[in-house]
Amino acid sequence: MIAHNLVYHRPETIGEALGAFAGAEAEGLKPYYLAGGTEITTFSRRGLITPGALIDLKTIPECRVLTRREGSAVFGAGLTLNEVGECPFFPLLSEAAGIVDHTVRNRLTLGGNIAGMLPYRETVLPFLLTDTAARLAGPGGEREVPLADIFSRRLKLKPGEFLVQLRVPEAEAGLPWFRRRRVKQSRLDYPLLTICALAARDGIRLALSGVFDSPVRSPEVEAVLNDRSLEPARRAETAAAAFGLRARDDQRGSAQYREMLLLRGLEETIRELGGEG
Amino acid sequence: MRRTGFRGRIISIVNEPSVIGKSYTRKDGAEKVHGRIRYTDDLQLAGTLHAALLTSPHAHAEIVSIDTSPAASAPGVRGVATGDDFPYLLGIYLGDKPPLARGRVRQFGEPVAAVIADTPEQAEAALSLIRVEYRPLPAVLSVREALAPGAPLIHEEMDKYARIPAILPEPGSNVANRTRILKGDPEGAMAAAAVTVEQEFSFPPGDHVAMEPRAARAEIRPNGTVVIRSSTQAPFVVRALMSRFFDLPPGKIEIVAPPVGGGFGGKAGIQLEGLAYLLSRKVGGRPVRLVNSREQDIVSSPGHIGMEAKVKIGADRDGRLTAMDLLYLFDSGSSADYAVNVSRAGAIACTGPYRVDNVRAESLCVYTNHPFATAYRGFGHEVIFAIERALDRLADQLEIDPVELRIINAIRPGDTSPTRSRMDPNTGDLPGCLGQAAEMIGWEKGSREEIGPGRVRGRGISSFWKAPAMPPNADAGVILTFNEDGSINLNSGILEIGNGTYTGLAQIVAERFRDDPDRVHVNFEVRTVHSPHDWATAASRSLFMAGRAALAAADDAIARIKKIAAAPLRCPEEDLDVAGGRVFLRDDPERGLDLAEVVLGYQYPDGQSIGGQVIGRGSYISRGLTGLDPETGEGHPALEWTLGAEAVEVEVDLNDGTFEVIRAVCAMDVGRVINPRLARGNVVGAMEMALGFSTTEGFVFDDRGRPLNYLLRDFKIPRYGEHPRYGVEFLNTPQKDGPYGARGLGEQGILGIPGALANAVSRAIGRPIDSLPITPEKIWQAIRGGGQ
Repeated sequence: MIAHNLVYHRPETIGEALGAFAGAEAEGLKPYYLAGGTEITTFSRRGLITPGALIDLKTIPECRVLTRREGSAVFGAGLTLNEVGECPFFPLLSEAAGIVDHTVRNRLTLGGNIAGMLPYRETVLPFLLTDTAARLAGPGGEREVPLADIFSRRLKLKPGEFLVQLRVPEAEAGLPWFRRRRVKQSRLDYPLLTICALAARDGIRLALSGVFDSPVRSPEVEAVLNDRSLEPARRAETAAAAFGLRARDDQRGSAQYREMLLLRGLEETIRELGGEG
Repeated sequence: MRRTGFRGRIISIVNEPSVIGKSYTRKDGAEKVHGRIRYTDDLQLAGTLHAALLTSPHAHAEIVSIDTSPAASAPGVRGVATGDDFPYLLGIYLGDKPPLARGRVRQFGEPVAAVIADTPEQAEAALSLIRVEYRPLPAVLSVREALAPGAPLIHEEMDKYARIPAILPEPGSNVANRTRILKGDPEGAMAAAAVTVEQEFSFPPGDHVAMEPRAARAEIRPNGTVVIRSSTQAPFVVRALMSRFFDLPPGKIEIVAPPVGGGFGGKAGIQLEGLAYLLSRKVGGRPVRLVNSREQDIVSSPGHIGMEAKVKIGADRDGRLTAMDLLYLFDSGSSADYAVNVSRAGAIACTGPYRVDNVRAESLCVYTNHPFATAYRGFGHEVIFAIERALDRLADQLEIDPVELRIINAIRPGDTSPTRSRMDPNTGDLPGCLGQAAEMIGWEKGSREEIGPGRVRGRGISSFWKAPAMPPNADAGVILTFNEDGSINLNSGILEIGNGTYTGLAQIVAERFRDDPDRVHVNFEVRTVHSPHDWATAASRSLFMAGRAALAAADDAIARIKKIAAAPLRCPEEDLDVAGGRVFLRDDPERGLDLAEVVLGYQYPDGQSIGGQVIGRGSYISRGLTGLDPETGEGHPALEWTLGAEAVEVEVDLNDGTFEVIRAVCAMDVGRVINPRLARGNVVGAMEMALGFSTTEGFVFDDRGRPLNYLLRDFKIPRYGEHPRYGVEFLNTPQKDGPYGARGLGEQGILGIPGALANAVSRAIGRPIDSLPITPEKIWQAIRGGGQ
C-alpha cells in the first residue's frame, strides 16, 4: 500500500504529459513520471520517495512505437519488456530484455528499466553499444541527442524531461552479439554480472552491469579487448583491470566472486566474438 | 447425472472400495483458480478500524522513550498503543512475548507501537509521527554466540515465564528448551567404532512466504463475546490461549477461521489474534483490522528456524551404524513461539530413519536477536540434512555405495526410535523407497558424470522420516448433517490451508456411503462456536485423525439411517445396506428407500413421521502417546512415522559454480493413497519449497543483526518455470489404524531434498557442501578452497 494520497494523470499526448508535470510542480506536488510502476511502488512503500503526482507515460502513442523506419529501429520507452523481448529488430536487446519472468515483464517497461532508480538498467547495455539516438521531451520542447551524450552511470535528464524513444541504426542492431548473465542463484534476481557485446567491423564493443555500481562501457577496456598483440587470456585480465572500478560487495555476492565472473565473462566474449580460433 | 452412475453400480460396488485412490478434483479448486476464494481479509465489515504497527529498526536495543502524542492527535486516529498498555506475555508453550515491545526490542521488525485509525492510510501516516528513542545493545548474532560464556541475556526474566511441562528452559542462559536423548551406551560404542565421521552443518533462519500474509480482525460484542476472524491453522489453540492469557471464558471467544492462503506452519499457534483483541479493547470493542504487510509477514511475524549442528557417527566395517553423538542448536530468534517444540521434534527424530542402538543427542532451542521462528513444514526434522550429509561421508570412508549404506541401516519394524519407541508393523518400507528413488534418478549411471568440459552431473540421495509433533491428547471431530436430497454436509475443525484435505475427507465419507464425493459438501469455514473441536491443522495429521473421525461419523449416521429405515422397510436393521444414495435390503437391493426419504425423518404416506434428522457424530483422539523422560528422552511421542527417500540430480559448471537442478524425485511410503493427484501435489509442492530454502532463501544479516533481504525483491522464492522435472512414486505398506490405511504426507516431501541436493552437489564437485543455501558462489569457494 502507498499510504499517502497522490494525483494520477493519464495524458494522451506528450504535450499533456508535460503540462501535467508542470501543473503538479506549480501546485507543490512532487511529480514523477510513471512507467511500469514497480520501483515507484517499492520506494514509496518504504518511505524513500513520496510522489505527490504520477504522470503515466504508457498511453502516449509516441512512447508505444515499435517500428523500423529510414534504416533505424525505433523503440518506444513505454514498451513492455515482453514486447521488446518478442521483437526481432535488435536481437541483443531482445535477449537483454529477458530479465525476471514473463509475468513481471508484462509490467516492466524499457523506459522504466533505463531511467528508473535501480542501478542495474540492463536494457540500456545494447543501446550503449550502438549509435543510438534518444528522443526526449521536456519543458523546453523535444530533442534528439546521442544516447552516449546523456548516459553516464544513469540517464542524465533535465528537470521535467522524459525519455520518449530510442532509435538504433539497423546495420548495428543486426551485428553478431554475445550476452552472458550470472546471478546469485535465482534467475529472477538482479545480476552479479551482465555482459552485452557486439562484434563490429572495428572490433568488440562491450558494456556491462551488475559488477560495478552502475552500467559501464569503456573505450579503454575495448581497446585492450581488441588488442590482438596480447593473447586472449592476458587480454581479458588486462581489460578487467582497465575498468579501474571496484567491484560491488553485497548480499548477492562478494567482490571477489564478481571479479572472477567478470574475468571469465571477458574471456568468453573474446572467444565468442573476437575471431580467435 | 453422476449419481445415477453410482446407482447403476450398487451391486458391484457393495464389497469393494470405489472412490478411495481416485483423483477427484479438489473441492476448493474452482474457488481458487477463479481467484474468488475468500481469505480472512477478503471480507470487509462496515465500521471496522484499521491498525498499523511501528517496528524496531534495531536487532537489540533498550527503548528509552516513546512519544506518541503527535500521532494520537493526527487525523482519523482513534487510539495509539505501546507496550506499557498491554502488560501481558504471550506464547504457545513459553509465555515470553509482549504483544508490543516493553522496555526493549529483541529483534529487527519487532512491533513497538500501534495506531488505530479510520482508514489504513491514516494509520500509516500517524506512525511516522511517533518518536522512539533507542539505546542499542550488543546483539546476539548466532546460536554459538548466544551460548558463549558472558553472552548478553535476551530474556533475563525467563524464570518467571509461564510454560508447559514438556518445555525445559534454562533461566540465566539463552536456552529456551533442551531435549536430551540417551539410548544404549553411546560413549562405549563410539570408542569401539571401526570408523567415525564428524562434521558441522548449518542453515540460516528464513520465512515461509505464504501467499496470504497473516491477518486478523477482532471485535468485542456488547454482550462481551470476543469475535476474531483470523488466518489461522489452529482456531482452537487460539481460543484456548486467548482464554488463558486474557482470562476470558472460552465460550465467550469465537474464532472464525476461513480458508488459509498457505499455512506451512506459519499460522499455527497464536499470531496476530492477541494483539488485534487488545487493540479492539483499546477502542471500546470496535472491530479492528490488523493485517501484515509482506515485509512484516516476513520479518515481524515468525518464520523458518535456523540450525547449527554437530554430528558424529560411528560404524563398523560392514557399514552398520553403531553410535551417534548429536548436537542440534536451533536458532529460535527473539521469542520461543513454536521453536521450543521444533527443537524437541528434532530430538525425537535425531538419527534419521535408521536403526542406531547407541545414541546421545542434545537438541537446544536458543534465543538470538534474529527474527523469531515458529513451525515450518518439516518441523525440526530438518536435522535429517545433517545426518544425510554425514552418511555420505561415511559411505565414502567405507567405500560403500551411499544407497546401499542407507538400505543396510534402514529402520524396520521391531527396531526402536531414538526415544526407544518400538517401530510397529505399520512401519513403511524404507529399503523399498530407497531402491525406488535410486532407480528414478538413474543411480546406475553413477553419482558423478562428466558431460562436457567443466560440466558435471551429480546425483545425491537422502532418506527422510517424520512423525506428527503434537500433544499426546491431540484430537479431531467430524459432524455430518444431511440435505433434502440425501446429500451430506461435512463439518470438521480442519482448515483448508493448501493441502486439499477436505477432498480427502469427502472421499472417505463417500466411500463409507458408497456414494459420489460430489454428494459430500464440505464446510469451508471453521467457527469455534459450532465446529467440532480439533487440535490444529498441522503436523500432517489432519487426513489421518479427522479421517478417522469422519469414518466414525459416517458409521454413526449409517447406523441411524438403518434404524429409521428398518420400520418402513419392515426388516431388521442388520439386513440393511447403504450405497448409491439408497438404503436397501442387502439380499433384495430393489427393496429400499432413497436416502432423501430418510435423512430428515421418514414420513409415511398418511403423514405420520418417524426418526427425525440424522446427525453423524465422530471423534478421534491419538492413541497411547506419552511425554519424554527429561534425562533420556524415553517415551512414545509419535502417532505414526512416514518414511521415504528422495534423490536429486544437478548439473554444475565447475568454472564458476553455477548449477541447475535437473531432476528431483521422491519415493514415499504413504500407506493407502486416498487421492493420487492431490497426494502428488502435496509432495511436489514440498519438494519445491525445499529447493527454495536449499538454494535461494534464508536471511542475510548485517553485522548488527538486521536482515538485509526481507523484501521480496531480495528474498527469492521459487517461481513457476524455475522448477526441475519431478518424479513421485508411492509405496503402500498400510497404516492399519489410519483411514483406509492412509498416513500423513503433507510435509514429508520437504525433508530429503536438502540432503539429497547437498550430496549431489558435493559429489559433482568432489568437495563437501555442508551449509544451506547452496549458491554458485559457495560452490566456487569450495572448489577453490579445496584446491589450496
